[in-house]
Amino acid sequence: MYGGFTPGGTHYSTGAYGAPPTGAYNAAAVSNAYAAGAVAATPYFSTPGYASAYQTQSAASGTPTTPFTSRVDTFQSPNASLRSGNNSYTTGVTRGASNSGMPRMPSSNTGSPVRTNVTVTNLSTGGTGGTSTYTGYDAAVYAAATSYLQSKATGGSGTWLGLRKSGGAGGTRGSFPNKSRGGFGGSGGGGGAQQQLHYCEVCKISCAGPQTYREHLEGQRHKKKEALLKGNAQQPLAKSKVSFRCDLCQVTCTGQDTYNAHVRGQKHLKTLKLHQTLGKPIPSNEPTMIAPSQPPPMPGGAANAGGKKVIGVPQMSFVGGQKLTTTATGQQIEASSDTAANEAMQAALLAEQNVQPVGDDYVEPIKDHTGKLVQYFCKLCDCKFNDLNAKDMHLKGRRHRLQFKKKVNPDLEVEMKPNTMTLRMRRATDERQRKDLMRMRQQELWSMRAMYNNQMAPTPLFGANAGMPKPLFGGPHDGRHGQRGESNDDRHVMAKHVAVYPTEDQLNSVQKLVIDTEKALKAVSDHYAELEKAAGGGEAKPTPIEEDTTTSSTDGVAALKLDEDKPKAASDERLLKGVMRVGLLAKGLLLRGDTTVNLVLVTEEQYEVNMKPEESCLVVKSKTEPAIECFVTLTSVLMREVVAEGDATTTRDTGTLLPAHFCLQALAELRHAKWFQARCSNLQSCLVTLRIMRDICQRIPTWGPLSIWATELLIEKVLTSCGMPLSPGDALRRVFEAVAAGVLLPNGPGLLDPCEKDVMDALTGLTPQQREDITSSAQHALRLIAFNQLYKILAIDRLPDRRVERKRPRDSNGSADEGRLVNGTKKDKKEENGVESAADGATQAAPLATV
Amino acid sequence: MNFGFRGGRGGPMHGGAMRGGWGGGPGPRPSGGPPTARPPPFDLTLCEPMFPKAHESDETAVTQALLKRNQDLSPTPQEQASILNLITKVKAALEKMIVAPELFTAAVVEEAREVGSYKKGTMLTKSNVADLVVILRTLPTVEAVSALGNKIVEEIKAAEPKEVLGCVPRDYGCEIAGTQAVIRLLIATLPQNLKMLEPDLHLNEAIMVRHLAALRHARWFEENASHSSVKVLVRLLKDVRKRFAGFKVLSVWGVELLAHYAVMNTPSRQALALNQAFRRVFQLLSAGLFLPNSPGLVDPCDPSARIQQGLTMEEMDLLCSTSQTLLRVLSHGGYKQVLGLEGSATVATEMSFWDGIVVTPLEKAYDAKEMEPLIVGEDGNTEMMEIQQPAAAAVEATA
Repeated sequence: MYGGFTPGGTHYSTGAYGAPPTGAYNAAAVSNAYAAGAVAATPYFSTPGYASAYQTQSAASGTPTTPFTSRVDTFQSPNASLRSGNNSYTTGVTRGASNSGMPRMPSSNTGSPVRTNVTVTNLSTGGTGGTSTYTGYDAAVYAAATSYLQSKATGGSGTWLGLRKSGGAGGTRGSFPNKSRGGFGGSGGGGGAQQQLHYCEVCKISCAGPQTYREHLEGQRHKKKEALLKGNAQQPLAKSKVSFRCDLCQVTCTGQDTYNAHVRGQKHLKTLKLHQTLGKPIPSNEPTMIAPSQPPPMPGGAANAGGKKVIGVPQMSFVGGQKLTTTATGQQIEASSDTAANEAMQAALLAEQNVQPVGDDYVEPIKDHTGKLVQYFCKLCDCKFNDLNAKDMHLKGRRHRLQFKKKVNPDLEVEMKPNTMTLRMRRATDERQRKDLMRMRQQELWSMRAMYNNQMAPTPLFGANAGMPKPLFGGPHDGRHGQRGESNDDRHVMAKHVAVYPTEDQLNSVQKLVIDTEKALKAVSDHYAELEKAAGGGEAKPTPIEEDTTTSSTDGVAALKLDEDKPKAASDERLLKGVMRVGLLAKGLLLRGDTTVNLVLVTEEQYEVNMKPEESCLVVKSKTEPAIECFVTLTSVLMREVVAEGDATTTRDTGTLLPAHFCLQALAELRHAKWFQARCSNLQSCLVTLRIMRDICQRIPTWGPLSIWATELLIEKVLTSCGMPLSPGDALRRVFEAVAAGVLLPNGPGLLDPCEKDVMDALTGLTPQQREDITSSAQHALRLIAFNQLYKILAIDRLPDRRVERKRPRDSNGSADEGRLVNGTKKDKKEENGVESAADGATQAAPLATV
Repeated sequence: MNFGFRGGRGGPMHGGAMRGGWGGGPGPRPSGGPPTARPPPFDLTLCEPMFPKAHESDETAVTQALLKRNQDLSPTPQEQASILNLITKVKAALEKMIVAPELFTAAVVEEAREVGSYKKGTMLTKSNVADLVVILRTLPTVEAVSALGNKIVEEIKAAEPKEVLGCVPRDYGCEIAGTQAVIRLLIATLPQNLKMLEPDLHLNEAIMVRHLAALRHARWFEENASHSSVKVLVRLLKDVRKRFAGFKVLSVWGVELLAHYAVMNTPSRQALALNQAFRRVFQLLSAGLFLPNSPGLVDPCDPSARIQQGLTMEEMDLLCSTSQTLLRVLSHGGYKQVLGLEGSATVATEMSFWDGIVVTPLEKAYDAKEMEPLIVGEDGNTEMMEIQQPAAAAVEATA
C-alpha cells in the first residue's frame, strides 16, 4: 500500500508502519508514517484521532505528489468559522524526513516538499470523553502539527508570518493559529470563556493585547528568533559539548544542568502553562540532544515527533530500529558521518556524567536574620548565587573545579578545554618554538666558537699554528638572564659589566703583545732545538741567548744539577716546553684599565732572569700606548718537588736559582687557570659576577684584601651551590648573601683550596678584622640590593625602571624593546648584551647540568 | 617537609616565575615590574658539600651556654605543676558543658583545645599562662563569653571552695586567673559562623580567625616540630626576640617556623645540632631570608601566605640588620651577649670590641624614596627626581 511512497522523496520508514501504537514513541512513529501521506482532520469529527488517522489513510492512498494544500484550503474557510467555538486550531504539517535522523528537508526531487495541512480540532475544553483513550495518538498528531509550523517557517514558504500580519487575508494556509482573528473570538460556544490570546508561535509567548502583540512582532527579540528559525542566523553551539534543546521553548542549553535549570525556570513554566491553556501539544520534558560540533537542527526540519528526540544518537530505539528503504550511497555516507557524531556525543555525554559536583561543603547558605535563605556563597571561588540552580551549576563548573583542585584536592581531575588555546596562546607557543630554534642555532655557533676559545692547555707554542691570533676573551657576556625577563638588578649588573669590560683597543694591544711575546719565545725554543740538534743530542748544554727584549737566560748550575735527567729528556723534548697564559688573561677577567698580563713559561730547566730575577719573571713592555706589560714568569714543575722535599732553603742558598716562592706561585697560577677553565667558564653568570666583584675589590678598600683567587673560589662555590642557573643580578646578590651569612667570618668554613694537595684555606691571608669588615660591608650591600639600591654598590647611575607593560616577548634582536627604553645608547647596548648572553647561556646550560 | 621553601619552583629553570612571590605585604614594593621570585637565599647548611671545612672549631662552650640558657628559661617544676593543675580543672568544667549542654545555656561549647606555648612545650618561665581555644557552636556574644568564664570559675569553686580564682573578660575571650597560673580562654566559633559576626554584638572576627589559626599551628607543631631541639631553639629565640628590638617584629609563629626550618631542613634530613641551628637562624636572616624579593618561608598552615608578609619594609631591614650584627658578634665569640647570659642588648646597636676586633652595627638601608620607580619619560626627563649618590658611598661608609 505504501510502497508507492518511496520514490515520493525521502526516507519513509516502512518498519514503523507495522508497529502498533503502544507507546508514545510508537505513536510518534505512526504519525510519522502517516505524515508521509496527508493528514487532514476536520472538526466535524468528534474523535479527532480517528479522524486524522482515517483521513490520513485515505489521503495516503491517493497520489502523494498532489499538493494537499489546495484541498486544505477548501477545508479551511469553513473550518475557521466553526473552529472558534471549539478552542481548536488548524495547523499544517509537513512530513519531512520522517525517520527523524536526518535533519534535512525531504523530497528534493519534487522540488517542493510533500506538504499536508492538518486541521486538528482539540476538544480538550469541549471535552469528549472518548478523547482520553487516544491521548497517545493525539499527542502524535499534535506533534506532527507543531512540526509543520516549524517546517513552514524554515521551509520554502516562510510566508505565513506575513500572512498573519495581514490579518489572515488570502485565506491560504496561513490561517491557522490566530484564534483572535476577526470577529470569531467572541463567538465562544460551549468551550467556556475564550480568552483573547495573542500567541506568537515563534517566540512561544502570549501577548496581552493586539497592541502588545504588534509591538512584539516588531521587536528585536522576535526578529532575532525569526531569523534563527528561518535559518538565516546560525545559533552558536558548544563545539565540545552536547547541547540540550528544549523543544517547547526552542531553547538550546549547553549542558544537562543548564537544561534542568531551564526546565525548572520561570520562563519555561510560563510557556508550559501557556501551551496548556492553549491546549497546544507539549513535547516531553526530555531534551533533544545535539552532538558536539553538529550543526544545530533546523527547527522543525527534522522529524519533530513528540516525545524524546535525539539527533544523532543510535541507541534511541526509534532511530535505530528504522531501516532506510532507500539506501543510496549518499545516505550511507551520511550515516557514517552520523555515527562519528554519535560517538563524539556519547563521549561528551559520558564526560558530562563524570562531572560530579565537588566541594558542596564550601558553599554556605547565607541567611538573613530571619533565617530566610537569601544567598549561597562559594568560599572557594568567592562568589555568590541567588538560587539553587546556579549553585548546582557552579559546583559542576570548571572554574569551581579548578579552585577546588587548587585549594582543596590537588588530585581532582579537571578536564582541559579542548579549545582552551586561544589565538594569543598559540601565537606565544609559536614564538617560543621559533626562539628555541634560534637558541639551538646559536648554541651550535657558540660551541664552535668555544672550541677555539677554550684552548687552555699550554699553547702549542712550538707547533705549527703558533702565533695564530686567538681571541683572548670568549665574549663579555655569559648570563642566560633572558629567560625569566630581566629583573631590575640584572639590568644594573649588566650595565655595570659593560662599563668595566675592556675596550676593543685594549684587548687588541694585549693580544698583540702576548702574541709577539709568544712568538719570541717560540723563536728561543727553536733556537735551542737547533742547538741541540747541532750538538747531536749528546751534550745537552744550551747556551744563553740574547733576546731583543733584553731577556737572557742562563742555566749553568741548574743544568748541571739536573744532569741526570737530561739525556732522556733532551733527545725528544724541547727545553722550553710551552708557554701558557694565566691569571686574568687566561680567565678572561681583564677589566678596563688593567695593564698587566701574565704568561708562564714552562721549561725543562730552571731559569734565572736578568730582567727581574727577584720575581722570577721577565717583563715585556709594549712601547706604544696603551702600555701593556707582559710578565713572563719562569718556572718548572721541578720546583714544587724541590720545595716539597723541604729543600727550599738550600736551593735558595745556591743563589743561582730563581726564588722558589715566585716559581711556585706561577705553578699555582697554572693550576688555578686550569681549575677556572673546568669550573667557572661554563658556570652561568660566573664571569660577569667575577668581573663585577673584581671591580668592587679594586674600588672599595675594604674588599681589597680579598685575593682574586679567593674571590674566584668563593663565587664558584656560591653559584654552583644554588643548583640552578642564576641571572647576573641574582648571582651577584647570592654572592653578597653568602658573605653576609658569614662564610668569610673567622669561625666560618673557610674556602678550601681545591688546587692544593694539603688542606689549605684560600682565606688564610685575611686578618679577623678584615674578614669582619668585608662581612659587614657585604651585609649592608645585601640590604641595599634588596631595597632597590644596587646601583650604589656598582657605582653607576640608577637606571630608569622599565615600563610595567610588557607587550610582547622580547624579539631576538632586541628591537621589540627599543623605543620603550629611552636613555640612549647605553640602553640599547645593554639590551643586545642581554640577548647575546641569553644565547650564550644556552650553550653553557648543558655542562652546568652535569656539574 | 611542609616547607614549600625549596620546592614548588618547578625544575631547574627559573621560568616559573611566581608572580608576586612575596605577596602583598604592606608598604611599597620594589619597583621594576612585577616582583620576580628569586631563588631562596644562600643557606650555608644546605650548601655544606660545597663548603668543606678548612679548619675545625670547638663549639662545646657554645652548646653548653645554649643549654644553660634554655634551662634558665624553662618554667620551674612549681610553675608547671600549678598550670597543669589549673588547666585540668578548667578543662573538666568545659567538658561538663560539652557533655551536658543543658546545664549552661548561654552558649554551646563545641570543643576546647590547648594551643600556644603550653601545648607546644615552649613556655618560658615567669609567664605562667596557658592558652585554651574554646570553640562555640553559638555566636560568641560578649555576654555569652563572660558568662562562660564565670560559669567555669563557679564550677571550680564549687568543687574546691578555697581556690582563689577570678575571671576577667578580654577582647579575645576571658582570662581565668589563679594565684600561680593564668588560663586564657581564647574564644572561637565554627568557621561557618564567622560571617555572621557583628562588630558590636560579638567578639572581633579577626581575633576568632587568629584563634582558629592557633589551633592549626598547634596541630602542625605537634606533628612536625616535636623534636626537642626545635622546642629548645624556639625558647631561646623567643628570649632573643624579647631582648633585641629588631627581632620583635617577628611573630611567635614566625619564630617557630624559623626554628623548625633551622633544625629540620638539612641536606640529610637529620636534625641539626643545637649550636649550629642557633647560628643558622642568624645566618638565614642575615642572608636576607625575610628581605623583599626573597621567597621567604611559606606558612604551612596557609600555603598562600608567607611569614614575612606581615612585615613592613622598615621592619624587614631592621630585622635583617640586627641579625647581621648579632651574627658577627656571635662569630667573634659573643654568644653570651646574644644569649643574654652577659652584657646587654646594646651589642646590636653600639660598637663593641672582641679581642681587638671592632664590630660596628649596621645602618639602615631602606629608603622609601629609593623604592619608588624611576620612570624616564619619552623626552628623557625623569619624572621622579632622585639623589644620584656618587660611587658606592654607602658601601664605603660601612667599610
